[in-house]
Amino acid sequence: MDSLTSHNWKLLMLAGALVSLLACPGPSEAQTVTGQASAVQATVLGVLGVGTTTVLSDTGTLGGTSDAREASLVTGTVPSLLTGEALHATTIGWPDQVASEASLGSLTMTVAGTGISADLVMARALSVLGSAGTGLTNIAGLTIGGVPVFPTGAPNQTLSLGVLSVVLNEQILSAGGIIVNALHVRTLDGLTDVVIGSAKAAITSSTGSLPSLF
Amino acid sequence: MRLGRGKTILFIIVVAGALPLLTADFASAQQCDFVTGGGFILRDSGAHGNFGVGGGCKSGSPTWGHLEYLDHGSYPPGSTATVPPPFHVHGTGVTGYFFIDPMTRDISGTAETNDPAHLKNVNYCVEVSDNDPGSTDTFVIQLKDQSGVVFYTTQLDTDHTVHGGNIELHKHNPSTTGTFSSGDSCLGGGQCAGTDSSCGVNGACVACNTSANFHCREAPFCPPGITQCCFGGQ
Repeated sequence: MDSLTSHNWKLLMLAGALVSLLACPGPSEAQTVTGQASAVQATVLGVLGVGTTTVLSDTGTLGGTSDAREASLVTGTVPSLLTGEALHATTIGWPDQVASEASLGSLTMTVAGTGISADLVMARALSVLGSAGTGLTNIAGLTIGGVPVFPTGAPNQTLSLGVLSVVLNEQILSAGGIIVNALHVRTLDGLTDVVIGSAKAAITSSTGSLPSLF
Repeated sequence: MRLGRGKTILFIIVVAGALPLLTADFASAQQCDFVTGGGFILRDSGAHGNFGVGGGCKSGSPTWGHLEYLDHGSYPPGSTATVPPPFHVHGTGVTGYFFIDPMTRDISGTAETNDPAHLKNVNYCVEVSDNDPGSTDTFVIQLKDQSGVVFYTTQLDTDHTVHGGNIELHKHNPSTTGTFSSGDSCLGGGQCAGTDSSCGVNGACVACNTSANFHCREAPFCPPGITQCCFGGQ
């Protein structure tokens, strides 16, 4: 029968400790995380140029790598602008990543006289330490001005519709992270700016990302 | 027989390297985690059931999450509602989080609705599965009154597919120090005993295979005429 000597057991413990140190972020490696999600962000400028911003189902800012935040509403309304149902937002942190998502169902919105509706709008953002942020958007049953619109799935699909600028699956990359806006509608005069489904996730390390052994 | 020094060092590196992997796999099956999702299901009537849901353990207990659900088809049977649907369900707290199988979780909690017959003191159970890619995500909701009587469920619908949106199962994080809720499922029924011959796959009278994560369900969540049946499995 094979056996390990006491000397070998010491080597085993030493190797195990070395592997553990390499595999896990050490206490000197500090991660900075950013995470937030909201179902609706709407800014409308009044006649005097005073803006009113309404945020519905907002998680607030992720507190760290051990935090998990959520927010929800059964229905949400921005008067004279939009209504939605089952508003949902979450952001979760880990020592090696951040994931955020936001969704809303049965969207009905009117911007500058144009009706916009969707069965479901959802944004998801994921940032993994050492990798570029990734984003995903789900939009089902979208119509603009009564005309069905079919998202391509490509990031930043832009539609220019008269006085409206509409961006589907808007993705804004930053150092160590990404912001995903599932549906971003703006008027060209700058008076109205609405984001439906916004998810932000970012993580950076003060010592840079270590290559993972596993 | 002793290993040579070179073989010993190689053995140590291989074993030491594999230990974290084995430990991680074991722990992931035991440690509490998170599930999140939003989207809609299609009831048998064709009506949308919009939902947003979250569940998980945070800071030692399965109390993280939320539920919002709206059925555009109808109120529960016997409702005295005088306004048209949708039927609203708003979660007011999470009370349980259950491991069903590697891709499925149950979330239980308290809720209020806009049905005059069940405005307050409603208990909900939601079962979600993150099966993508490769298959479709699913969502099931069941509501019970204070007496434990089921007054609303989508369990009997023919389709539980999340048609728009997504269910996402997330790994545990340092705050998920709690454990999954004890028991099998909040949808009803208990874990099959290995000798329980009344639990059968699709109604067949065979022992429920607990090793494959099958679970026992009771009527009315079984085929007609079957009082108990197996559900799930890997």
